[in-house]
Amino acid sequence: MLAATFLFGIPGGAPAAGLLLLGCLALGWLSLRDVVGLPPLRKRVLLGLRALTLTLTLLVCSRPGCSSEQHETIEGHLRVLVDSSHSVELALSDPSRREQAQALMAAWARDTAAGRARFSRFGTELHETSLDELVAAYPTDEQRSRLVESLRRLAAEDTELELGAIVVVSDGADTDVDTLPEDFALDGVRVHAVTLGEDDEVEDDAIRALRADAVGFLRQPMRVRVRLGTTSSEDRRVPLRLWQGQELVREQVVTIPAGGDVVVPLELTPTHLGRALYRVSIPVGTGDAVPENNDRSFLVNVRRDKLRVLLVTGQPSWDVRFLRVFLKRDPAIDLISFFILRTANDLTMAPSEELALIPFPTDELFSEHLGSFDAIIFQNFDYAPYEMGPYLPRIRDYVQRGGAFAMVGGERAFGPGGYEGTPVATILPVGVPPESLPPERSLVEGRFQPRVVTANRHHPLVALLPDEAESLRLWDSLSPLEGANQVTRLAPFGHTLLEHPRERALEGGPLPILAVGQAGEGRVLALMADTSWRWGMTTAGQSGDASAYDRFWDRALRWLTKDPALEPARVATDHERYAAGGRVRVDGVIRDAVHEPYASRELALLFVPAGGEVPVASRTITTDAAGAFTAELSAPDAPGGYRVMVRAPVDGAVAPAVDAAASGTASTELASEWFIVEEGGDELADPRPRPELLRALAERTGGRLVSAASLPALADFDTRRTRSLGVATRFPFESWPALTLFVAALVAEWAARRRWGRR
Amino acid sequence: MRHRLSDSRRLVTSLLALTSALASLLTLVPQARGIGESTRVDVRGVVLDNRREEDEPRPSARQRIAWEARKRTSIETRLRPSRARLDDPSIFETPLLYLAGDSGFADPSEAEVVGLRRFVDFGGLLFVDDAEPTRDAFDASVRRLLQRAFPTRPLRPIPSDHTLFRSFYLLHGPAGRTGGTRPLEGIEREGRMGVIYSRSDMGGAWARDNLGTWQHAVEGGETQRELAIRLGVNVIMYALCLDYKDDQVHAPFIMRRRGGTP
Repeated sequence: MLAATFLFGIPGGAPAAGLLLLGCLALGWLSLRDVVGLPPLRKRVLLGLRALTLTLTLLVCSRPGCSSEQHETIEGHLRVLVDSSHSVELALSDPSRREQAQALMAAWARDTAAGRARFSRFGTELHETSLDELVAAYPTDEQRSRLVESLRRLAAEDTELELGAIVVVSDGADTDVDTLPEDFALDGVRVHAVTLGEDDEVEDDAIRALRADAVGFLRQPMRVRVRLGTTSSEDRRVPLRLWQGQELVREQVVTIPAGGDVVVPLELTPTHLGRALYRVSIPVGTGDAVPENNDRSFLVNVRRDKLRVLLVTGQPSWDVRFLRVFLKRDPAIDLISFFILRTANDLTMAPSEELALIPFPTDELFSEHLGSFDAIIFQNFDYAPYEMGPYLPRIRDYVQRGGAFAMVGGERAFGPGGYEGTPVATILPVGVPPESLPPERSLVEGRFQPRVVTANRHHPLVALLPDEAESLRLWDSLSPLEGANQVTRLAPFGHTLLEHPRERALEGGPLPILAVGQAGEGRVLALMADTSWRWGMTTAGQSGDASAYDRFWDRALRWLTKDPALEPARVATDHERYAAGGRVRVDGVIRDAVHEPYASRELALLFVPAGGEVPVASRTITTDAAGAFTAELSAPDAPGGYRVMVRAPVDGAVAPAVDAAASGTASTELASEWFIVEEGGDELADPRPRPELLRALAERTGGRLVSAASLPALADFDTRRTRSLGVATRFPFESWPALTLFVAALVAEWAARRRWGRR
Repeated sequence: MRHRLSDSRRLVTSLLALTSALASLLTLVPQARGIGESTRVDVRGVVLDNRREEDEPRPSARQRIAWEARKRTSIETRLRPSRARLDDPSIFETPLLYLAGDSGFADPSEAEVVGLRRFVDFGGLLFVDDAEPTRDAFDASVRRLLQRAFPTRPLRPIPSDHTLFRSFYLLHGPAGRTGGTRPLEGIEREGRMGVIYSRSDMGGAWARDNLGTWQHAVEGGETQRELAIRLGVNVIMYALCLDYKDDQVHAPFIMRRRGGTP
């Protein structure tokens, strides 16, 4: 309630009133001189009248007044807010919190006052309900307790100011706030708190909170903060473990102080792009009241900070020059490049100290730092003169573990580069001819316009423009390439995207010019030409547009390094975390390796638990013409990490094979994504009741705190509400009587002065 | 400021140059192998005023520097460089142009000026060599041409610590037939040199006749000729590698050889 405030209504406020007072005092002082010589009685009468007149002038003109807030007390309505969160479900005493609440509601069902109350329940959200519904089925499955937020929302709904009091039935374990916020107020609405489980004694070690950035960067260490707590009266030493899937990443022993918390930082380093599932856990001890809060999963969206590319070239050329410029220009690329500027056959005509040449650090690059590169490009590079043979198996293994490798053509690449029969040849998407093949057979001369392979026209490396026809026209408009490397054939896992319009591969079929493939977990690209720069500068000389070159290499790098936007098949859930049984909306687009849509196909959509193979839920989905689909499933009941997975039957059959796919056999995985079902989470992180929060609510609002066990009657709760009517300001001398008195004083003084010979 | 090689190195360099000259006489031109002659680096001459190749001031210079680059480095060059007008669309087929002259030339047509501008904008490098720096006629014509093609980008001196001077050989400044100390000038485009202009008659230091005999005396002797050849090789290497030698990985090695601290 606001205190009364004094003020002056005269324009200018108190300063103006002060000036007015000074003026009146001056006039009063002059009046003393004016009555000199008069008999004492007349002098006293005239001075008295002058004092009265000046006082009334001051009061009428300065308009003193006071402001004060006006209130009224009314009998308001009653609302009952019942805790519907999962912590009420905990059976930590007899009767349990849930049983206490049910007993209370059963008692109220017999109470005539209950008919005048409106019922709501809260948890993650606020829900309208009725006492009958609560008595019939009392849901306690919400994964958060937003008590304070729910009270604010209830009060905000009360636009007519008819709400008198809210009776809260809860254990007070608000998951959003630890203490009642200082600014909490409900405009006169009383909150009466009925406590559940205030006598619960809980023995529990728990992961109270877990703070991890939602986004991490590939191969960049990130830190997770885990808050562990115990209700034990003694210090607890527990091993804290960090898992990625089924793999133990880190373990350390932590001491939790008796009855307190400790925050433990853990470091992890993401190794794959996209959503990654991690889990922290502590053992479940004997007598641990809530085992669910000993295990927490979390997701990290792993992105790439910078693309780290190694470019190795056998000799400077225009192709090398333009590719390096492209790679250097992109600030998102960290380029390490090595050009062989001199071979053993070159006569430099200068001692080495007059040359700006550095040794080729083969061991450093291909032994120490190989795994740090996102992509390796061999551009017209022959390995043999640099004694790189022993490193070729490492490059193969790097790719098969998920790396990216591109070989760009030229006189030192593919067959002439001596790669036939090497480990690198096994990962290339084309067959490499022998080095002994004469140049006229291992290399093809002459200009040619590479042709997009129709079946693979949707692949992002050739579908450079959104419109298919425009994209094909673009390829036709590019400057022709000059010369190409021969290959024996396309590898079994390769796909030809561009082919020579006339030449044949050594073992038959059109000569591939651009081929891609998946080698193990990694991706490979083979460009059998060393003049792709002509798609830039030479084409620009004809059309003024050099962008096709940049666009091609941008796509090539992004595809090689598995940019999620260029993945042929993608599936996504509408959230990362779900409550048990919650609705999971799944959207996806499914295309094959060359981005041909799985159009109008029946596929299996599955939920597979982390570390397992057998799906826990499945359904059949049908894609549209673009390979897209949307579906909804219920989240599994068991907490933990899951993969939503789209599978297709291996033999290409449709519906009948879906059952087989659902069983996890005889099918291929097309796309998958992680999500989490979290039973415990913040809601069960600290299962102790918090009657102190309920007490603070009652004291702050003028309500009372009672135990549910006492079965308080609804009619006993005070629903009177003192509400504000606003601020009122009164000016007592702004009235007819005051004005009349003022005029009367003026007239009396004037008459007296006239009668006694004064002006 | 001109830097000379030490005496012992000068002797070695002279011997190597002599060996090179003999080799050039005795060795056949290397056989072109590979994907095709047209994909090799072509030191393409610019045709102005419809002048014939034999009217160029140093007709063999481009061939000689192409040969030197092929012999000394891993670059595959065309040993019979081609020529093209600036308004010929084929200038976009090879990103290096060489313009040399010893006299003024008529102002090129607007199409030629536009051709030059687009050539540089799309990634090309024009190397200009003043074969008669004691007279200003060629210089004036070149500056008029460049002013028309790049009105907002004037020629500026290229500092001696520019990558151009360490793209293959470690050099300390310009060199050519004449002994002047005029710095190289250049026009930069998106962090790279689009035009390099020498007023030291580098072509004069490169030129040989068919028997391998140097065609012009060099004011600083054979050492300066060797430096001019090295600078020519560096120009071709720069056209292909740009600032590759500025990459962080090269810095410690190069700084050590220059006597600096990485």
